[in-house]
Amino acid sequence: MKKQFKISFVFLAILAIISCESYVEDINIDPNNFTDAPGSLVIGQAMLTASKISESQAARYAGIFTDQFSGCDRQFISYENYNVIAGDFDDTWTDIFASGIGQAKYVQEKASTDGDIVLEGVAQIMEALLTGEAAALFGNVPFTEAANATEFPNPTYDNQLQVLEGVQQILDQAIVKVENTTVSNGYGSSIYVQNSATWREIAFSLKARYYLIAKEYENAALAAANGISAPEGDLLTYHSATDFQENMFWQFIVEQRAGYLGICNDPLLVQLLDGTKPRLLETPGDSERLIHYFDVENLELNTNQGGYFAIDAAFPVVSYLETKLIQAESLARAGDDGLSPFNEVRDYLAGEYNAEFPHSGASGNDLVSQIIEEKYISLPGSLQVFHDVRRTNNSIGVPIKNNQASDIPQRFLYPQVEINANANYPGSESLYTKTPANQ
Amino acid sequence: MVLGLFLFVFGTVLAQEKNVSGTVTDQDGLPLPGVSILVVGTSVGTQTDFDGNYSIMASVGGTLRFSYIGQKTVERTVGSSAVINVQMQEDAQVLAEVVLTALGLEKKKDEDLSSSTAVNVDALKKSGETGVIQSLTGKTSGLLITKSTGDPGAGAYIQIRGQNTILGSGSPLIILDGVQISNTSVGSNTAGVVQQSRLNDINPEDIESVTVLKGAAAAAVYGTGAANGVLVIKTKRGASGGRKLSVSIKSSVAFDEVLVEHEKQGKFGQGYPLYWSTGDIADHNGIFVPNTGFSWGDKISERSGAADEIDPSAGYFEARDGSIYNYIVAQGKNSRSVYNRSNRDQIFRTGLTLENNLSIGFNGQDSRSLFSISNLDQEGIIKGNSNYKRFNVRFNHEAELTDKITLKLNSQYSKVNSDRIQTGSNTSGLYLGYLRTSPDFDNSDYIGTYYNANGVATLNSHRGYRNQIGSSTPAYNNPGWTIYEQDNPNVVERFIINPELVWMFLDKHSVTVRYGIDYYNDIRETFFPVRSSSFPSGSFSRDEIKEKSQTLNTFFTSNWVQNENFGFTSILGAQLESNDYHRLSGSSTNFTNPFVDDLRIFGNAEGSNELPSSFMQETRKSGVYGVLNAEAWQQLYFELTARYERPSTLDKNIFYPSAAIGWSFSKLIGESDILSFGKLRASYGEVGIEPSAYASSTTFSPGGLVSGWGDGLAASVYGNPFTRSTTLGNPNLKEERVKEYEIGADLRFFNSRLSIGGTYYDRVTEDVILPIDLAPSTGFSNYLSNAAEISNKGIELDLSYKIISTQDLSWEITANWSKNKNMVEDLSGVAEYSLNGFTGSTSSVVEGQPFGVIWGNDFLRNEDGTLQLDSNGFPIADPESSVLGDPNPDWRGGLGTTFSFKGFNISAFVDTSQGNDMWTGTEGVLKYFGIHPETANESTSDIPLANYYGEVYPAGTTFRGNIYDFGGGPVALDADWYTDLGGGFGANTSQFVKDASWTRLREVSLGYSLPSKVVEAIGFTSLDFSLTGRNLVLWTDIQGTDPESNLTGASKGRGLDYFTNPSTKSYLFTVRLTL
Repeated sequence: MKKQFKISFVFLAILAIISCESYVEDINIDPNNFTDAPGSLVIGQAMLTASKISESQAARYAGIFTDQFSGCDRQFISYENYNVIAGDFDDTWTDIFASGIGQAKYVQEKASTDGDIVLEGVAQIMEALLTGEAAALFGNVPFTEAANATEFPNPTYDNQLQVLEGVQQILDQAIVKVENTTVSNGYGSSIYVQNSATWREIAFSLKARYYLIAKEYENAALAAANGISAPEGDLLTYHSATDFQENMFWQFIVEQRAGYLGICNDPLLVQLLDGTKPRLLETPGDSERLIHYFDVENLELNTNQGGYFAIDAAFPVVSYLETKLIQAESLARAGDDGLSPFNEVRDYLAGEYNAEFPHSGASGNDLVSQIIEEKYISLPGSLQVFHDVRRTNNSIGVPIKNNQASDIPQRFLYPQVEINANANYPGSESLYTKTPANQ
Repeated sequence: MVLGLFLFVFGTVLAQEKNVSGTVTDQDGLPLPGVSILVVGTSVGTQTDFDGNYSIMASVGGTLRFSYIGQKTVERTVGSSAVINVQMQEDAQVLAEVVLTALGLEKKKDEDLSSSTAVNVDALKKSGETGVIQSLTGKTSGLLITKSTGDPGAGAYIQIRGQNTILGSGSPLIILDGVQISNTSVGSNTAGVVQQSRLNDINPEDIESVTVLKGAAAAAVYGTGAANGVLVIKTKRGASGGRKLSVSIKSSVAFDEVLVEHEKQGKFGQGYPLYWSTGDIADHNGIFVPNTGFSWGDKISERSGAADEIDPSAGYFEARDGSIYNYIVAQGKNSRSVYNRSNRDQIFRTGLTLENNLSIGFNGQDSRSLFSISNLDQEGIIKGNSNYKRFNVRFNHEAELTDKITLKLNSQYSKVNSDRIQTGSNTSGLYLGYLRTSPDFDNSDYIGTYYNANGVATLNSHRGYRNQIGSSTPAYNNPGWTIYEQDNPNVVERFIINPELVWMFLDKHSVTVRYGIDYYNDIRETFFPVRSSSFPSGSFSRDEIKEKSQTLNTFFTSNWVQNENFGFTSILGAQLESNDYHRLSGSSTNFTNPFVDDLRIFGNAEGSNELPSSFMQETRKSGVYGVLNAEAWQQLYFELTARYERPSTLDKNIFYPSAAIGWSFSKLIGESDILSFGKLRASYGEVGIEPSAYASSTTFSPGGLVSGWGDGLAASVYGNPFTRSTTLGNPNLKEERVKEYEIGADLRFFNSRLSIGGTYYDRVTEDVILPIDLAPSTGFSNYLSNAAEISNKGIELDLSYKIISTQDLSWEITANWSKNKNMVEDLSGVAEYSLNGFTGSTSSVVEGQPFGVIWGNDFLRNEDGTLQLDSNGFPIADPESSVLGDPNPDWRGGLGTTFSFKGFNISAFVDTSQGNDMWTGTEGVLKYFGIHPETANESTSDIPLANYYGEVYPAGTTFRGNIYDFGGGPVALDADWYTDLGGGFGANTSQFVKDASWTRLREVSLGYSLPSKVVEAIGFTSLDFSLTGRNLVLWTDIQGTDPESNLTGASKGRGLDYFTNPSTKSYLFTVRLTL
């Protein structure tokens, strides 16, 4: 009896030990953080990334390189001389891929699983926009292997033109999915100005933009015809006086780095507006535009109430103006009627500024030049101007600010973070090497 | 002798097996359980039971050998009597040489195969420290313990050998009475208050012994978690001195003083050079400027002494005592008063600690118990809300249920109430406000009412040198406000209970089942009243931390073979561990009702300023382990340990092997007069560190974007979109694995008067977890990876020499020395990973460098190491960061001596740390503000001198500052230099990284025990008095602060000083009375 008791006790003790294999299972589930989130909640992050690319540091470099603005203090004096290093582009690159494309792809997966076709389409539009800008700014970039860390921990780089072609395919798929959903009803209400913008028109405008960058002018013209058809269709990032909802140019110039970005070196954009450099197409209304864009007295961008860079000034991600000017340039280059969309823009501007923006009667190369100049002036602080100047081989004559350089910068440098961490990094390109589309 | 002869004569005649039994007692006549009894020359053996009784079959004429740890071995020949009672004698030599194994079992040091060291408990008590860990400081080689500051209850940093991990826990495992307890120190950063270590919750008086397991092999039964070594602590039970009942009372009183203080200049007042406004270097003399942070003003002694010029239109301040302060205008200060002394006395006092302790030990027929109660009440050296009160109750009980079953219970409750003072990089911190205060500003009135020019009153206004009439919140706190108005109370309640059952279910086989629960509740509040510098609109936050650790450990101990030539024992066990950590926090900032006074509540702010947060973490571990011990010819020892386990943080099972071998060669070559004992030992062991919980999955949280320039888009205002973290979860993480071999020797000479122990170890941590950058084109920025490797190699030496050892007189010297060479071997291309600190001065991990190096900006240098100079002859800051210093010492040592004569006892202990560097951030900033005495020098040059901005002092000009030659000829170091590159806010860190080697008289103590005759005459058993001085002398080149203190507390970031609250020296008087 006693022995049996002993044996069973010892046996039980051993059993107690062994039976506890399940003791540690299912414990390591994070109770503090979400390990999953619905796609509709994450899409906003990709949208904010697109807004940030449009109006934060990338736009400031573009504005300096295209001489719309001047770099006036500290690091921005170096940037004015094109003295940039790989690390300066870490922000932009990381935003585009990690905060933007990565999230947009995640949303597509979730939306596809959930059967939310519109959301999937919207996420595709965001992916296309960010990928398109990456290719336009950096040239060859990861695309087929991008944002898939488990399968491709070291993404290879695809040719810029193939990437741009891929962007068109994504947009084609998206257009089918979003149908006529408006931005306000299609996941954009809390980020964009509530207007009549539809995702379909936006997708077509983006198609036009990336065909233009690839110099496929006929396709660009066709896409632009289906693009944003009226100013109420613009995709505009909403800004207000609330903290971190302010216009990002305003935040940078007024709140964060007063004096860094301005017009201290009398940039080309100012010269064109104030008549120092005559316009190809005479435009008396430019005097109104000048004071809308710039605070001439203080040699600043106009961050005052009502100014183009005011605290609450909405900022375009893609717009009617851009679309019409793409359409005009593409048609004009094909010898078709570029004049109508161009004069439509002029009429629109005359209404906006309540000033004189005479019609053009030009044709051929003159018309193309007038349109490019108009776009340069009409899209201040836009990356598209930087793309245009490089695409047109600086036909507009942006001054080269570094006296050692023979050209304006032709790309953004590949970032240090990619040099450091990507085993398939293809090697650095000079700031002055043209991207494949522009070669 | 006569009996022996008798036995001999008759024993040989009557040679036959018979049952011998008896009782074994100690020298006090009390039964000794667990004494090994062996029939010499056979494998027959047994042990005494709980009452010291035994019985064994032996032949008449055979010899019984009685052996027990700490007692002299006794041999008796079996004679005609069936009863052999033995009274054993304590072996003073061997007594101190018992170590605890990782499982808390006792083992003879001479048979131990590791570098484990038992720390003398008497020495701990003598140290006069309030915490257990702090008292271990310097007591053995290879163990580094540093107290973060002199704040009451301040936590301590414990490091055995060297750092092994970057993200994992760096603290050793603490085993109290066989089960592990928590030593978490939550929250150690560059600002806030100094946090406690939870090990301090234990009453040092309850401790019977402490063993430090330094090597991996010794700790191997714990596998994951034992990578940083183990402290094995055993508490007391039973009456001392072998009596039935012992009651001892200890009372002590301690006085604490500031150990070192920063010196402040008293020559120049608040303000700055006039030329800063005029731009003309001829105006280089300072002027009084109200409310500026700088003390680069006019010379106080040259002021007129007339009434100050005031501006009535700025309003005035009325202090609580009615004193009126008017606004003194620029250049209008005429008073010659200097307040450095009174401002200092405003904050410091003599700290007072009272401790009372009562222990009752009881030995019953089948039981031993201890009840103790203790109360500690400490008022810190900083006036106001700085204190630490600890109350402890312990009840330990051990009962023999049958002669085979023993039940034990250890339990303790502790409650700690403390109040802390804000420190560090913190505009509401004590030292920041105090040290920056201009010498001509009187801090004494810090709170009152501000009246503006129209007579409108603002109550509870805060007056400080950055706002002389309290018209708005000063940029830095008046120290009076910091210590009296701000409040940082903390209450900890803790229970540790561990029952244990030992059952000898077969003759030589027993099973032990131990359960332990350690539960505490830590409630912290931080209160900044309205108009505190860092929270002008007030802030209240509360943290509730709960941690529960549970362990169930079952093991079988089997004694398979035991004879004269061979012994073989095994331990097989299994262990379940779980740890639950919960933290619930809330904060309320910008009070709606500013006059909360003592009412600290949430809800007194707008909704957006009420921030609740919570954190939970649960980890578990299950493991089985085995320890096999073999012994041959009493001189060769082998030990194999294996552990197989599964932590919840990993998806796989882990195996840890270890092995050790030892040879007591003195047994072979024979003990001589010179060599009393000699043992060589070698071991190899593996232990690990698990990844942090939940690192395997990618998380989602509210998104938003901010650029490096500060412009951004916040998620909260854009519909709160979520973002997938750009840190990729890594489900393939594995444990960090420490592999170590050590070899060593333990030697004793001259009849064991001289003992020397030495160990060489070589350990490497492989697969150290580190965040590794990912190419952002993967959609992520980084992920945790087993990417780093850290090595530690070192030598540890311990020596003790009993110079004199007689009944009445003894004199002993002890020494220890250790050297650890630490190296971050591999970081997988990561240039630098910051452990703690500020941008430009961090304690970091850098490949090819020791762990925790000081990382910041040097001056630009030429290839030959000389400084590159600008056109004015001044150095240029290097825009890139580099390694500037190593906070790890090259070597450390301790030297102690104890001298006893009759009842008197004198001891002293000196320890030293050589070659460790420190970033003296405070000094740099005091230079910036013109407070550092160096900035108050006045210099005259006979040649024209350029200053940092190229302004030239004509020859013969006397200016405030110094003349220095950086290599390009003499230049003027004036306000322009100190407030730019030459000061603590400049772009250079290297000029403030200094050799912080130190040597200190850690403790000196004088004790007297009344002769027992006298004591017994008055009815006591013993009565002792002792006087201890702690930290009395410090030798170091570092000025103003104790190089042992650390800004970032007990965190892995080391060697940083930035307005850290000061260290203390103490005088302690203790009375011990035993009834």
